[in-house]
Amino acid sequence: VSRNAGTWAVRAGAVLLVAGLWEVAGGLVDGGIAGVFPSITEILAAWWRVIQEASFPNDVSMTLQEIVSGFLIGGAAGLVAGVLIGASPWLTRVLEPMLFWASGVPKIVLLPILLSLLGAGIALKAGHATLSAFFPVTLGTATAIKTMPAIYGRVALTSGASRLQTVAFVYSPAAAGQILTALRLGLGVAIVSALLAETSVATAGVGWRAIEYYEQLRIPEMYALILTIFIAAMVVNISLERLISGYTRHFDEQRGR
Amino acid sequence: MAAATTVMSRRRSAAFRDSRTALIATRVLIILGVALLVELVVGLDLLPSTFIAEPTKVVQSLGEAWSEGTLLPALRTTAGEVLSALALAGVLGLAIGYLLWRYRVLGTALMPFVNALFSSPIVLLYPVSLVLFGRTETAVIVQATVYGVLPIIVYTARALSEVPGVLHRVSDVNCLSSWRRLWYVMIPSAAPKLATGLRLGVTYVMISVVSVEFLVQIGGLGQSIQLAALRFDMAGVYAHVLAVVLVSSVVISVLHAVEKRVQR
Repeated sequence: VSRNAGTWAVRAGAVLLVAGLWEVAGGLVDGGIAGVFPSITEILAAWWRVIQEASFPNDVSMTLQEIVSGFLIGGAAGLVAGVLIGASPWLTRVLEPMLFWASGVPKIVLLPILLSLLGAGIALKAGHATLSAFFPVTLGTATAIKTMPAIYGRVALTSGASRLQTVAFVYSPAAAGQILTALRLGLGVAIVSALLAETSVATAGVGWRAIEYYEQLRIPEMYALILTIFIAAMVVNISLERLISGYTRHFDEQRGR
Repeated sequence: MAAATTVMSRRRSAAFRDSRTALIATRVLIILGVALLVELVVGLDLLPSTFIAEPTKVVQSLGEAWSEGTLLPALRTTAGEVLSALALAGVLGLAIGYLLWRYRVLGTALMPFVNALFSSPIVLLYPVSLVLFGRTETAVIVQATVYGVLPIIVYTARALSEVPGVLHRVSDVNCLSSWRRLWYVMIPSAAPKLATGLRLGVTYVMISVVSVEFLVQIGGLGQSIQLAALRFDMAGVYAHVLAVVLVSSVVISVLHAVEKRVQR
């Protein structure tokens, strides 16, 4: 109990330290540049104004559409490509390094090319998210398939399972943990990509709105919105991580039996 | 006899197919095939050149950017920012990761925050960097440092915590001081994971630097792409994108090779 209390005390201390440093920095910097470090109460008040603005629901809905459509298309394409590559040792050897190099390229540089192909609408941001989600999902799925113990397939074969049954009841559950993790990573980069694309070419969306606030020098609103985006992204990511680790534990227990 | 010859020939062709030369040749053929396809599609006006530039024009534009002296300064700016951010992220990440491992309470309390930040859209903080440092290279470097430091912290703390207990006991038996234990036992044992953290750190730093350069147009390769796009110079856009792809691929391949070597 005391260790747990110590952990929480350190966490609370860290939060207070960051808040204190922020306020002190605000006092120091604001002597020269007013508004760079608004006080925490100002940011909270701005947050209330931000979520009450008439444009807020539309911005959220626009960003969600971009993220969801980009993730679904990129994730589905990545799954198919990953299964095909992972199932063939030759394709793995030829294509995996190329995908690995491509995955490290900052996708934002492709925005002008996507802009000429998809226009400046929602398709551009969704396309950017699609492209970004594709690589981690493909690489993760290919790894899940290629590292699956060969004995699973042999056991299914000797048990007389059909090809469909083997895929549905043997391969899918065995690879699901790694594939779900790849999908979580894909969703993470899809969120970042859609938001980044919005900051460059958009007329709505939360990423675009944050830049609008910056350009209008509404700095407390900008901090409030960025903080909201951060918390939302973290909640989604942590929830998915817990779900996946729960599933993986369940599968490991099943396999242990 | 004929059957044996066929088997031998099949084995030889399978061995060639799996050889390193054949793999590289296949990759080159794939890239050339795609380039040729694009060249034909655009050359035959099936797709307008305002959408996709012909690969020959892209290579020509890249050569022009090099000979006109615009590519090298951009490359130098990006490399300088990447190296500065990487140095900062490396030092901070290794130090913070070590502290989080060394003081358990700190690690238990703060690692969830670090992990949560690791999975959050840090790149989106660039307006904050702009507010604090203006449209300067410092803003790009600080932003990239913040983005790149997180994987280094996470992997450093994880690497040190996974050092086998027997090595700690051996260090105790040999009465090693904290520094000697860290230098001679902990770091060599943790090196593979530390290398992974540093590789991820470099990748994140590079992504962040090019993204902010592109979005805010502060020098470097990112700005070159944006400027070419504003001039509607598609060949220029593709040429600079190609430069980014080449640079990132080379850096990632080198880092991957180093990581594999350390892991061996």
